[in-house]
Amino acid sequence: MDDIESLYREPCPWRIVDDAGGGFAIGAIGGGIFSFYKGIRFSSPGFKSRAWSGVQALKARGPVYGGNFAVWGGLFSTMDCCLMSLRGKEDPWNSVVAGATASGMLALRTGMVGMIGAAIGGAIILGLIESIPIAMTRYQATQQREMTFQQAPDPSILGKQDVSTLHRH
Amino acid sequence: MGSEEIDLAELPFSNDNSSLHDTNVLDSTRGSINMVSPIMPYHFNTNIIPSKPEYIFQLDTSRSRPFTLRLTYITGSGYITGLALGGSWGIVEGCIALFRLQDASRKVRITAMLNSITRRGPLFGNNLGILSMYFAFSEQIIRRFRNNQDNLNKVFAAIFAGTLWRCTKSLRATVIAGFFGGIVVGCYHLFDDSI
Repeated sequence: MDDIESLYREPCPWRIVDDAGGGFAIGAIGGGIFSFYKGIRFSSPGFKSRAWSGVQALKARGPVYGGNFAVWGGLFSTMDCCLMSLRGKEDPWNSVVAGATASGMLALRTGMVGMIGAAIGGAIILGLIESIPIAMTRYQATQQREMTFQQAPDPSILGKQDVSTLHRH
Repeated sequence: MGSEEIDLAELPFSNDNSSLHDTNVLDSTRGSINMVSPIMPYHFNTNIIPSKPEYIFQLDTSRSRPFTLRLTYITGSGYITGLALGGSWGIVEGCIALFRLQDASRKVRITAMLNSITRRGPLFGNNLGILSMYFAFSEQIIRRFRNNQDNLNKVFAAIFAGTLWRCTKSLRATVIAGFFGGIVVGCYHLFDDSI
């Protein structure tokens, strides 16, 4: 039952399916727990009534949360793949623009102002997600540079210096 | 190369194909590393097209993709399939609704079409996505429980997912859903040799 540890994601057209599925799983599990709690909280007293209300709320709202997350993930991944093939490179700006476009497309029916607001919100969220690993790597790199300064000098230089002094005598 | 007949035994690096497609490799590598050689017999003859996937290491035959990747793949494909099916049904319903709205304005007709698509599409997509998620989770649990990976796991997982999906309706609906799931996945894997 050993799993192959794969660090790499799927190639681009199939990545959309994976991202939509991941979004659905996250949304359905998280939203299911949330709506189960809400069903228990806003129910008539009594164990049986509360449990039944929680299950009903979970069944009614959990898949909806999952579907919303899946639509967001799938749209984001589609936009990411489109930008990647258009620009020919893969960098954090792709993700930021893809997040803005996906959020804007989901708010398409609310009007121009709502679209712009949703796009800015999506860009900020994706910018935060993308900038945290970059900041972490940069912080680790500065620490690494301080470590390398404390190293001893290269012994080959010492040998050359000795040879030159011998030659002068 | 073309139309000439090639004697496989005379070529370097070519081996008997029966050793490549040995189905008992799974059992021999279970638990311990008793490899004949670290590298499987791998031929570089481009005229041979293998009918089954080839593995560089023998131990890889008993491995699979990680659970998270399988979960996302199964759930995503189920959700997108359901969304496409429900969306098509919604388009048909919207076209039927447009016959009644021939005198209405353009905006009203567009809204009617969008409403009928967004009513049916997410309904189908959510239900199929939830079913696929149940299937992926229960398959993983059954796979751990049986300590084996074959297609019988998938049949059990489909039965379990169907019963879990309809368990709050009634006993009859639960039994029918589980039976239906088992029949569908069983028929899918009926002609597979590994069941």
